[in-house]
Amino acid sequence: MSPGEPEAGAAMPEPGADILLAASSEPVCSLVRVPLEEVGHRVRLVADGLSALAALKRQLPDVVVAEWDLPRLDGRGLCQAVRADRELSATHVIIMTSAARAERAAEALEAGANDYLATPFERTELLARVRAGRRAAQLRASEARLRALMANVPGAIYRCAPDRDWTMELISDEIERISGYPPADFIDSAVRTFASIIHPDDRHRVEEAVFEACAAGRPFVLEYRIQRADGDERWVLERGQLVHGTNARTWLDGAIFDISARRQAEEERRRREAEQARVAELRASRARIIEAAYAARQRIERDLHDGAQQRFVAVALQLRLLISQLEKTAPDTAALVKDALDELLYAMGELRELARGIHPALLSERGLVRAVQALLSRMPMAARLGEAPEERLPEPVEVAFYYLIAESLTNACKHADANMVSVQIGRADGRAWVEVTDDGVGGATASEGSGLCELGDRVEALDGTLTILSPPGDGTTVRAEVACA
Amino acid sequence: MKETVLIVDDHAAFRRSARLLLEAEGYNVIGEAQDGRSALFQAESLAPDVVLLDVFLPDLDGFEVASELTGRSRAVVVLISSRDGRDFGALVSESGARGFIPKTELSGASLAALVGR
Repeated sequence: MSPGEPEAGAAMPEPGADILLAASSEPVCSLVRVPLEEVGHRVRLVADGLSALAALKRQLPDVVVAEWDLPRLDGRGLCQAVRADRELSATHVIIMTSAARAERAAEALEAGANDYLATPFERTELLARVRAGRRAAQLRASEARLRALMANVPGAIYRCAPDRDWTMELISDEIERISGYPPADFIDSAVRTFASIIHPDDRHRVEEAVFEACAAGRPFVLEYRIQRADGDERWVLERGQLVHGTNARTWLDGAIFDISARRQAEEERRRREAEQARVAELRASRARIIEAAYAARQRIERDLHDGAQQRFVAVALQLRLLISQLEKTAPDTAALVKDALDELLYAMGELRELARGIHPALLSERGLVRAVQALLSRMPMAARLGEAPEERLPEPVEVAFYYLIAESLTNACKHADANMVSVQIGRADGRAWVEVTDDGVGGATASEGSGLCELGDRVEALDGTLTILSPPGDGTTVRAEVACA
Repeated sequence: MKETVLIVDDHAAFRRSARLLLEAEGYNVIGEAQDGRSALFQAESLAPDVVLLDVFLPDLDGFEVASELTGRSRAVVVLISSRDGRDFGALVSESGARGFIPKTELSGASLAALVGR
C-alpha cells in the first residue's frame, strides 16, 4: 500500500468488516459481538476451534477474534492451523486472553496470533484493535498480491540504492533465473553486489548511463551483459528511474529483463547477412578477376596483331619483293633472302599460334555462334551446331561458353574417340546454357587441374553450374548453365 | 591488260608493302581503302578485278563486306588476315569470297593461284 494513501480517520466512515468470532461462552460472545455490530461490522459466530477453521475455509473474514480456551481446537491450535495453510495465512487473528494469565499473551503470539486482547477490555480498545487488524490484513494481502505479480513478471523487479554497488533493497525471484544467484545474495549486498555481476567491460557504461539519466531527472533504458553464476554471459535490458522515498532517501526502482535470445537472434542475423555479403563479394570479385583477365588477354592479342604481327607482315612482303627482284640478277643472294623469309614466316607462325591461344579474336569480333561454327568446321568428325540464340550473349557468358565448348571439343577429339559431336546453346528466363554432346567412350571427369575443372570455376563465377554426364562407354555430355539477365 | 586490284586493310604499312609486291609481280593496284565503308564505295567507283579484303576491319565485318561486294559487283574477293585462317572455318566460303590467303603468304603467285587467271 502506498504511503501516500490518506489515513482513514474516525470521521471517515469505513464500510463494515467481516468478523469471525470464535467464543464458547455467551457473556464473552455478547461483549464482543454487540459493539462490533453497533459500528456496522458483520459478525459470524462459531462456538469452537474446528468450526472456526471450517468457517475460515468457507469464506475468509477480514479479522478473526477468538478465545484462547476453545473446545475441540484451542486458540493455539487454531493459530497454528491458520499459519500452516497458505490460503489462510494472511488472516489477521486476535486472541482474547485473561489479564490474569499474562503469559498467555506471549504463547498466543508465539503460536502465530497477530494480536491479543486482555479481558476485560474497553469497547473502544476492541474497536481500535479490530480496525488496526483489518488494515494490517489488507496491507499484507496487497503485499502478497504485489509479490505474486512480481514473481510472474518476466523480469527482475528491484529497488536499489543509487550507489556504485547498486545495493539492493529488494529484488524479485526472477533474478535467480537470469543470473543464477538467489535474490538474497544481493539484498544489502549481503553476498555479492549487483555491480559485481555486470560484465567488467559494461560496468562503467552502465554507471554513466544511470547517473546521467538520474541527474537529468528522466528514466533510463539500457542493455548490457551480465556474468552468470555458471560463467555464461547474458544480455539484459534494464529500465528504471530515480524515486524519492521516505526520510529523504532516494532509490532506483526498475526491472531487468533477459534479452539474450533476442540478442542472439540479432547476432545470428547480422552474421548471416555479413556472410551473404561476403559470398556475394567473393563471387563478384572472382567475376571481376576473370573479366579483367579476359580483357587483358584480348588487349594483348590485339596489341600483338596490330603491332608486331603487322610489322612482320610488312617485312615479309618486302622480302618477297626483294627476292622476286634478285632472282633475275643475283639468284644466290635471292636464295639467302629466301632463307631469311622462311625463318621469319616460321617465327610469325609461332607468334600467330601464341596470339590465337591468348584470345580468340573471332569471338569478340563476330560473337559466340560464329566462333563456334568456325570451331566445328575444323573438327575431323561430324560436328553440328543445333539450337542457338540469334542475339549475342553478354561477353562474360560468351567467353565462358566459348572456352567450355572449345575444351569439350578438344576432349572429344583427343580422348573420347567420338564419331559425332553436337553443340546446343540456349537462353531463357534469365538463364543461358550450353550443352556439348559426343558419342565417344565417356568416363570424363572435371578432376583437379583439368581443363574442365578450370572452366567450372569460370562458370561458377557467373553464378552458374557445370554438369558432366559421362558414363563409361556411353558418350559425354557437358552442360553449363549461368545467370544471364 | 594487267588485272586491277583494290587493297582493303586498316594498316598503312601492309597496304604499302602489298602494293609494291603486287605491282612488281604484274598487278595494277588501282586503289586502297582502310575500312569497310570506303571499300564498298571504292569498289563501286573503281570496279577492280580483285579485292584483297582484310577480315577484321575497324568499322564493318570483313565477311559481311565480302558478301556485299560479291553480291553487287563482278570483283573476285580474296580475304586476307594475319590471324590464323583455320579459325574462320566455313565463314570464308559462306561469305562469297574466292578464298583466304594469310598475309604472310601474299604474293603474285598465291593470288594468281586463287583468282585463276
